[in-house]
Amino acid sequence: MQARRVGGLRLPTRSPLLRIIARSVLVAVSVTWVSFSLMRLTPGDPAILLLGDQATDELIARMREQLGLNGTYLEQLGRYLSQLAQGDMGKSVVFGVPVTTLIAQAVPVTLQLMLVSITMTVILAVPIAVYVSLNPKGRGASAFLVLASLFVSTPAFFTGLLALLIAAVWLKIAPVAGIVGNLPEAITYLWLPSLVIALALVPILARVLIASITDTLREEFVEVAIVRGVRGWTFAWRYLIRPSIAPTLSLLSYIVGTLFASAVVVELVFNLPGTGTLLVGAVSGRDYPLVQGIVLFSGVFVVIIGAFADIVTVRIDPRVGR
Amino acid sequence: MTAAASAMSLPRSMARRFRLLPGSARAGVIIITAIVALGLLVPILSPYDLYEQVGKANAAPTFEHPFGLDSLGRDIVTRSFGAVRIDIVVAIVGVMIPLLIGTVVGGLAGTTDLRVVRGGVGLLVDGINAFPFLILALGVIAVIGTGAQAMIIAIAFTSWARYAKLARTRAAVLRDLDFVSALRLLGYSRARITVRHILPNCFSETVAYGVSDFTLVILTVAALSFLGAGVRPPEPEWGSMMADGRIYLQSAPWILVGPGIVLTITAFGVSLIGEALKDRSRG
Repeated sequence: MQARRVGGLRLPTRSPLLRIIARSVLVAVSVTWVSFSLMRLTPGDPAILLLGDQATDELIARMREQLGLNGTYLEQLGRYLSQLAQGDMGKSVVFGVPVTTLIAQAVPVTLQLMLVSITMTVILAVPIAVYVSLNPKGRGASAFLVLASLFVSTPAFFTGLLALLIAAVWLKIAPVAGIVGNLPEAITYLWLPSLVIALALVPILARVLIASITDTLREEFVEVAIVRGVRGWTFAWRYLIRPSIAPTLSLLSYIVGTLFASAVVVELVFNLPGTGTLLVGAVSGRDYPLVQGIVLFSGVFVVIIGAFADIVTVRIDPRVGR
Repeated sequence: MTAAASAMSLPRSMARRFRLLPGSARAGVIIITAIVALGLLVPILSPYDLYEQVGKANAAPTFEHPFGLDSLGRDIVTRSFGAVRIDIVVAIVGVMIPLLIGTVVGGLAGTTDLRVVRGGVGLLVDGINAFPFLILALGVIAVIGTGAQAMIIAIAFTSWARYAKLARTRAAVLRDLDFVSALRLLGYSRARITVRHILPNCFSETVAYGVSDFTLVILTVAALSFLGAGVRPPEPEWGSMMADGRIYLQSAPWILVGPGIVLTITAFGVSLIGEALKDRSRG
């Protein structure tokens, strides 16, 4: 991947692994700075916005301190970074609890939702992609193209509410909302919201896989395998899917970002107490430290996943990253 | 050609261009034209008001009210099409502002010789792009407040970096091309080369991306309003109408179906056009 350059900077190392890590660290710093700056975008004083006009000067000063808004810009940034380094994201204004505690409670739900969704996406997308790339002119392929556009343009909250209505209210094959326990037994609560997310992700993954498999099909070793008479799943896995994974991996951080965003909406629809529900509550309650914490977490999480995908890509295919 | 003649040939050349589009893009153009026309006409021609109660709250669909009535007894057909105006306008502005900012910033960052500027802008762009779109937009809204205007600012803040990344890559390629060196040898100033030659070339790429980005922005506008962070009631807006429908999901499911269908069809139409343009720019 483009690990050689970070922005316009040339990194003085030849090891692809080190380059990926250095790049990710720099991007993570940028992510941190963006989420730090977020709270400083306010047109007015966040402390006064939270407390109202009637608040005494003393109360406002204390609130400013709690939000980390006292002192000069550089002092604020320094304090924010040193607190972050100690794992301190500040205290929630609404709950009065450390932000890290709230996020740590919500993250397992979101991660399990993401895990089930991504598994479903792969299970659905791979056979579709293999079928369409082997029959590119068939009816299935054109049906896929239209359906892909349709599913990508259907908002997750519409599919989610319809799924809830059909599966939970009418057919009663899924619980109406909420979650009890963890995977694997929580699958009864997670399969429907995950399916909703997967419906939007399958077209994205399948399209990239199709393009990638179509490229692979032009390779000589595929022809040789066909001539040798390799058939069925061995052929599909060894000669079509496995050589086509590397280009798909670079999409992983994009997929995880999309997952995170659709999780916000889907968690709200299905009443799952994950980071998305926490974020929406924090936004309407103007809980600045909590909002900032979740935003930062989502950005850093995507950067880490991206670095992981890059490293795996380099491992699988050493041509990349040289 | 005189101005009058070129004005006369405009519809004809548009018709020719339309015929040259691939089938799916033609379907997209027809869908969007129909949606915009209905969005303009339905609120005027409908016997019902956008904001006034016209019947019993949560009434089921009937012949007079094909999509039913919402929780305040307003006609959902009228409101679903009445929402076209605000949703499309917010989406258009929400695509154009970041497209402009991103292309100019990215184009300049790609052509400058100042390593610090190039690296700094690159890092900032990568940093913003790392965030999930909806989450960073929600973060901005938490700070600046809700409403259509705030939503546009939040989308612009988040989206410009995607355009900047495209423009920066394109500009970095362009500045090393022969025609740019030729212009430099001819003695044209740096500013003129950038403004007249590099930026227009960047725009042709970012505009093609912008059309496909339009789908994402329409869906994000609706999602933000659905989450209560976008357009405020009583303004008709698909997302906030569906948030109303969510509350009455068991007793009055039709409330969310009308706006959901109109929103999906609109996004579908735009994505058909976007796909075709993306394929074309890819060559």
